[in-house]
Amino acid sequence: MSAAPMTDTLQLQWGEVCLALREALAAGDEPRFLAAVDSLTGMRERGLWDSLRQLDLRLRAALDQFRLDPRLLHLAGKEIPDARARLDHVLRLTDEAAHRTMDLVESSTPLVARTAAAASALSSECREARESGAASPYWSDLLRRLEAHFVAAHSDGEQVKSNLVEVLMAQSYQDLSGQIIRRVIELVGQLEEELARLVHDSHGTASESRRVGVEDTRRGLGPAIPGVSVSTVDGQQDVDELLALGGAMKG
Amino acid sequence: MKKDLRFLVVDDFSTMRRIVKNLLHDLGYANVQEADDGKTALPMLQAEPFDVLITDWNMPGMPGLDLLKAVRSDPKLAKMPVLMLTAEAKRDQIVEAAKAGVNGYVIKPFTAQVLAEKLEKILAPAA
Repeated sequence: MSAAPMTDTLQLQWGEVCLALREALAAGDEPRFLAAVDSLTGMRERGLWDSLRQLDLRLRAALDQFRLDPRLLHLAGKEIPDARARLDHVLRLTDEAAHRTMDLVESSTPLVARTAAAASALSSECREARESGAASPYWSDLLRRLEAHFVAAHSDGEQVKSNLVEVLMAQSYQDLSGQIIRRVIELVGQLEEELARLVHDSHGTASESRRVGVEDTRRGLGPAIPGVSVSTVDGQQDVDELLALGGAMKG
Repeated sequence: MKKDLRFLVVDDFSTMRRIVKNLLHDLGYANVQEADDGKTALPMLQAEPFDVLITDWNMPGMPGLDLLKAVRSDPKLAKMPVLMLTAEAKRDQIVEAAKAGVNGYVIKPFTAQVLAEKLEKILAPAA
């Protein structure tokens, strides 16, 4: 029978203690019976303790590995704070761009409004002069063309005014994208905190991360971020000077 | 018409405050002041007589919903028309704002026309 080996194993493992239990029970020997129960439960718990010990060993190994992984330390100590600074910078850039656009809209609107209003007044004057009948055919034709021009200038001006309102409205992207970026910054901050705690708990030190802080300029580093990027140029003049210097060194 | 109405525009983004201010100017309302959250707005509302409050919802410090509730619970301000101008778009939130006594609710992104319409609507009883 296929059940035979299983029965053998059971017999081997539990047979003796079961027999002791049965004998003690039959004899009414309470101390012996309780001792047999203790040994039975002890046998059951041993498996649990073995599993716990294994788990503990694996956890320690994982923590050791974590402590030794410089990539994680670098992430917690440098890259995540950098990511936050980068997002902050994006917020500032879009804010500045939106305000710059609105500066121009605000200064353009009165100009085009003034031109449109003047064109409207002049088109009326041209019409009146033409309709008075006092003008010669040459002047009458010129007045007709001028009137048409001023009518068009007025309607174009009104269109530009309404386009400028649309340009203004389009700047609201800065508010919406800004709100989303702020949420991401918050999230990244929480992640940073948790990771820092984990690194701290596993006895890692931030100084270890410095060993891997070499930037890979080959793929490009992206736009310079104040407070993050080190050793960046300060404006186009700086670039020109450096370039000239580099050229001179080469020559 | 009442073009001399005094507006307070509350939003944590200066871009949005500026847009709203410009739109109000286009509609003929020149008297517009700004605050960047409920905490700065409330003392302004209590100190000066404003006629209309336009507020964002999601702001650091005191959010717009709390500001709305504070306005409604202040006997001096309770009747002020309040327009919420926000990206908060959950149904529950709009119901919550309505329960708190908001007069109008405009979802961002919005158009100049929508803002003008809603303003006209909430100002109609006052006009």
